[in-house]
Amino acid sequence: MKAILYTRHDGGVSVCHPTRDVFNIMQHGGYWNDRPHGFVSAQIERQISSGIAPDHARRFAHAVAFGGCSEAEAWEIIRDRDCARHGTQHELIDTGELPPRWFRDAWSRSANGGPVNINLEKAKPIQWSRLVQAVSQENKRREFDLFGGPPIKLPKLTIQSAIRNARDAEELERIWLPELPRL
Amino acid sequence: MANLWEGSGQVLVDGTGTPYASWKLYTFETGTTSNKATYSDAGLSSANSNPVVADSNGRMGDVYFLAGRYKLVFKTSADVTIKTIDPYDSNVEMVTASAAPSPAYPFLEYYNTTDGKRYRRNAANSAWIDLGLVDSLGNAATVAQILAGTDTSSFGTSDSIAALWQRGTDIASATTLSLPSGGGSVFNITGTTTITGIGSAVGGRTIKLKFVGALSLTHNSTSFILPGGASITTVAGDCAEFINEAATDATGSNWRCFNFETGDGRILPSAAASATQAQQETGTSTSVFVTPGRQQFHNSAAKSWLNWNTVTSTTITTSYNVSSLTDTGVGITTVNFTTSFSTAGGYVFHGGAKADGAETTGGIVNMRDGTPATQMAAASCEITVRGGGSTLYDTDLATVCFFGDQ
Repeated sequence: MKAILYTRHDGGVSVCHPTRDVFNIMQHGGYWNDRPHGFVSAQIERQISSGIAPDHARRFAHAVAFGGCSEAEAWEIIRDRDCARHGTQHELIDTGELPPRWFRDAWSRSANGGPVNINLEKAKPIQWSRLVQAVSQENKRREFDLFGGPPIKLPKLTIQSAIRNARDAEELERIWLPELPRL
Repeated sequence: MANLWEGSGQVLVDGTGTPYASWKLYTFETGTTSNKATYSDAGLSSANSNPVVADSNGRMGDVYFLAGRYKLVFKTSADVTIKTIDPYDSNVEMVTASAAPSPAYPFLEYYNTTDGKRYRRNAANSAWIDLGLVDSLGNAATVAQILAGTDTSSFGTSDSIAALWQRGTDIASATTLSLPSGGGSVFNITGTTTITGIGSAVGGRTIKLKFVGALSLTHNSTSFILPGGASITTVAGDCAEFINEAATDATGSNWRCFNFETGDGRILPSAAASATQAQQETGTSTSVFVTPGRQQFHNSAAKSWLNWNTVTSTTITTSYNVSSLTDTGVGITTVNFTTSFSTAGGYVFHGGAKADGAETTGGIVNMRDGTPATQMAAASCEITVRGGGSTLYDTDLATVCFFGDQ
């Protein structure tokens, strides 16, 4: 499945997934056929008010109203309309190329775009947060389970040290307590 | 033509061949002794004496009978009865005359040379019944009579009745349309002259008009009532149905258009019949109906909705009026609308998410912290999925729907 990957202005990574419908609409048009006179212009203005560049707004509105787009043109128009203002380095990718979502908020790209990497410094607090969440969830379960074991104590110093010293995302993700179920 | 009796000019003789000199022919109504007239001329203007007397050689003069039944009595000059014939039926040939023959009797028929029609005396011998043109089968009604619908003595033929339904001759557009005398109920309207009315017709008459060209129909609330009370500019191919509003058996020129269909199949006026976008948005009218193309404008209708999951990757399951979904991070999603809302923040949304991962209760779909313009822009909305602990999380089922003005 294809999607539009881009780097946000804050350095994060976003992935835009167009709907199946919008390709149909942009190919055949007529989506606003029953709307009053001037509706296309009004739509262009509303998009511009949302921060979309005038040319991008116009192109999208005309495609929705009148159709005629090839699939490649539709991707381009959606990229410009839904993604352009939010970031840079836009790229059409196969979603299978994206890393697992475990460290979703630590996704990053190089300044020139390219594939998604995991920013280790951002990933470390994520791993700690997930461990805390998992311990909390498991202890809550044990508290109300008749045969539940004693509460798990998070060896904070040990874990902190392991996280601090992790050399890559895989090693970081493996830092977990043996008795603790994965989320 | 009157009926000449076959005994006219004949000689009546006895058994030895001797003529009965001056014998007498008495004529009566059958079965009675009431005299019944005969005539000496075909025009039935000169009545014979009764009895009619033959000459001295026994030869009878011309005796014209009326059509009908007689009792004939033959007598000698000395009034000795020779023979009685009762009944005797005279021939039933038709009388030809320029006016109704007189005297008349029941069922007498004659051909009127003045108007070319046949007439028959009625059973009560009180009036003549018009049987129609002599060359026709009967008294057929004319197209005008069929359209007037008041005559009770003439019958409709397939041709004249067709005037009620068949296509008539084309009508040239005019200020007041003139319906052809030849009848018809379906007409092409040619030309481009503005029409403000239709000529007189009987109440209830219905006509269908097809407009060949573009012209104006000017509404009049009494005489030319158009749907929705508004004038119409036609386009070639438009069709209209009118009914005359005069009273029963009366004529008049007040017409009402009860159906107007455009050439491309729309019923006019859409403003009166079906709700406009504005009417749907106001949502107060109880006199217009909602069409599929307009129902979504009502405030109660969701203008956009979406069902998606983000556990392993972002997948849109179903959507309406969504161009794309942008995955910004864990639990953070931007919905981009195909049709933008009328104002930023001028709409509401509601959603929910299934519990997933560390979240043991269903999530809350809410707007993302930030500036309102980003959270609820006209063209997009940035939303978050949070669990019970207010943490952002990914779920395998989240839904959201948006309401507002587009």
